[in-house]
Amino acid sequence: MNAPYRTALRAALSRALVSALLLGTALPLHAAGVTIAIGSEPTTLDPQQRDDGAERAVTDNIFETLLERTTDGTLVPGLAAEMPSQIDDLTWEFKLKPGVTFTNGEPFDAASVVASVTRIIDPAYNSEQMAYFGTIEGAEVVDDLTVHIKTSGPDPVLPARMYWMKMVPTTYAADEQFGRAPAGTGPYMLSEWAPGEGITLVRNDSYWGEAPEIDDVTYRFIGEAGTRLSGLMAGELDLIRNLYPEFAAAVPKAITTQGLETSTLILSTANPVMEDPKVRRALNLAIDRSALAESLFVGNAIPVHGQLVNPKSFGFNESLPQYAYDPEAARALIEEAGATGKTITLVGESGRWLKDRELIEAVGAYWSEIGLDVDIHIEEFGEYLNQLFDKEHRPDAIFVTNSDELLDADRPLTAGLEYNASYASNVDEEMAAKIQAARTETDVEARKALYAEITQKAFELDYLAPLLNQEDIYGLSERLEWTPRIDAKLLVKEMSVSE
Amino acid sequence: MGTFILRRAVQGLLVVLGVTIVVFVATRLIGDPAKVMLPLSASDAQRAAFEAQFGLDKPLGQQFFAFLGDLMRFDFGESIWQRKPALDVVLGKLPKTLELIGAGMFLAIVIGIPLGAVAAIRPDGLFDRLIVGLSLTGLSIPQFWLGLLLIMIFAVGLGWVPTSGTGTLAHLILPALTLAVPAMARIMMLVRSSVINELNQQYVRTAKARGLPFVRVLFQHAMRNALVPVLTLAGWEVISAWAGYTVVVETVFAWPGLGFTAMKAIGQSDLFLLQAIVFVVAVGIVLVNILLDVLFKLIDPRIKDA
Repeated sequence: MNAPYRTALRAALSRALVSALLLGTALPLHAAGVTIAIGSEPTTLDPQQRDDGAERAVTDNIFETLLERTTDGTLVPGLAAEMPSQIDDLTWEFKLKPGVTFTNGEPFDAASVVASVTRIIDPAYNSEQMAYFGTIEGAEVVDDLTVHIKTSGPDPVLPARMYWMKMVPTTYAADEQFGRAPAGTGPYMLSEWAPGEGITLVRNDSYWGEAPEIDDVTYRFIGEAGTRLSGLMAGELDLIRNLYPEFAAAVPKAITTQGLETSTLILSTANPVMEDPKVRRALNLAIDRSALAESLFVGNAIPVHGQLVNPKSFGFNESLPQYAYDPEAARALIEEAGATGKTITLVGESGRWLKDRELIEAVGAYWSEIGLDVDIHIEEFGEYLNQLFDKEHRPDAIFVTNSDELLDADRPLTAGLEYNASYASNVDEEMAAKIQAARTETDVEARKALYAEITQKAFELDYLAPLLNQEDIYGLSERLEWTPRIDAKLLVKEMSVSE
Repeated sequence: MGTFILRRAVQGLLVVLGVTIVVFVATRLIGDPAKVMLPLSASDAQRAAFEAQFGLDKPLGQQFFAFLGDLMRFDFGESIWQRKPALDVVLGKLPKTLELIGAGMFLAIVIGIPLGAVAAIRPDGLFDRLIVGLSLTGLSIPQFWLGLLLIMIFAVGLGWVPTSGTGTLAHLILPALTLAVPAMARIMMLVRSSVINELNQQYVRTAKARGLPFVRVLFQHAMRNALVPVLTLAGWEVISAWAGYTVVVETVFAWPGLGFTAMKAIGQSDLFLLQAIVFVVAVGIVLVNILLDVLFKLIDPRIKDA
């Protein structure tokens, strides 16, 4: 290497060093901006179209809902002035906060609520979120700040649904540009969307609520967990989610909170071998859930309390204990049932949920230990879904992770336990009728009692083998201060930076 | 030459058509977008409505003829995932992938060819052993691991370049290098063995005996003859990068190109987007092949039209 090159290289290196130092000291001056990694680039910022967690991470800050949740999950008024009241079996009345406007200047009023509801349930619009709003029939304006929402049957979950439905402006939402240049009522608004690179939001200075501390937030799209981790370690990112438990020690700050996801096995109650309740009881007794939580999740998961319902959800049955681990008793039950050496099929997938394959294989191993011959099928996701939803041929056991976004027992129990509704494997019509009754029971106490009966019976007859309530793990930069939420929303208005 | 290119183009067109039809059948067999894209707790009726919206409830034969008709107009339907015309999505992602492949192949060639040639001068010498060792390492390292390793060293450790993303030249360096390494290794090995082979030929000895400087013998005579296999390999490298190797690199470096999009499209069972991607990739492969055939004829006119 000759002298001029060496000089040039040295100059370049020292420039890099100096700029690194400058950057280090310059940060406090721009302390009020944060960078967050999300798993993929949103395809639209229209908040009513898709069911996409990456899009929600952004639009949760641009748009708002009639009701919102506190960090620990309690429903409180958002754009509504107070909690809704039920006028009759099919009608809920919402009073709205006055003086709220969208960032494009349109007022937020009863007309925009009606427009938002009508838009999302329109079959031609084909929203992926209809699974949350199936019961809603329409909405009507009562006066400027009062609106009635109509349901097809009595719907006790409606308040939780209105925590999910984002409010869009009456006129502008119909514009072609809306998905690229959204306008909401929230604390932040879109500043720039550079396709493939990032999305930047800035503080909405005319926000009706308390002004947030953070001036601007940039989202970057990083699908690969290892790459997100390096971005955080290199100081490019302030917040990453879905951090692998093993990596928690490598990041500046790792925080966890109870999550919405519960992993479970759906057990057949009709297949040969599986129809014997003793066998199903043995399957539950054979699994050491604490060991799974410790070894696979480094303690960032909680063994379930005898049910699929999230502990923070409406309908959680507090009287159910955690499953006992007793391989001796399990082996005895299998022998009693004459099932020793019999084959049971365990179906699952790989890569969709955190540690799914590891969980499935560990459960398979526990079941082998009590004398069963376990046939594990890890399927490609499309094929797995075909088997999950196949009404004719139920696998002996199929793995699924249920996410309870609405924090209400209805969706998880409908999916996991209602015969012929979704992916339940039991054939209990009486239980299905109870789940349907609970769905339309508007008396809070009566509804709670129904869920207690349902979860109790499913526990006693071992219709399911729920495993763990997984915790959400976030990696934070040293300077970011934030408390994660039970509903996993990344609300920038709740963040601050310390310097 | 004109009829030669025309014949190749017609053959290529048939290949593209064949591949597209195979993809139509394959995507219909494996995926069910309504199950994948809607929440798991969606009802059967909601799934059926979603399918109807995209015409996926119609009989397969009817779907196929509609698909062929649309194909004639380059209409691949609307991407289920992105909700815009599938071909627009693909063409929008194309420049980023071409940028990556261009930079990666450039690195592979400008580093691989000279190093391979120099290694060939003294087979089994110290430099040769070093080059062979490096090549074997480059071939054996899994690309995703190499990518993460480079990120840890040059982005996290040294802070010279960003960890991932796109936008500046600095963003391009690591992904291009990661893409280049296996190709570079193969090119080095091939150049090395071709040149060793040529240097043992009679004409080289004659040239040396006539007193031509060695550098001229190496680069003007031996290298020229070694070029055809190297060019074949380089073409193959471009095609394989184009047809899939970028998927890994784009994923690791969050590079918003076609490979990353293809993976998402598979994950989302987005049949229409997948068809458009495969179509564009097939067209690209055919074009590269025609270009290579033309180049071969220019370099060595003895090559017959096949």
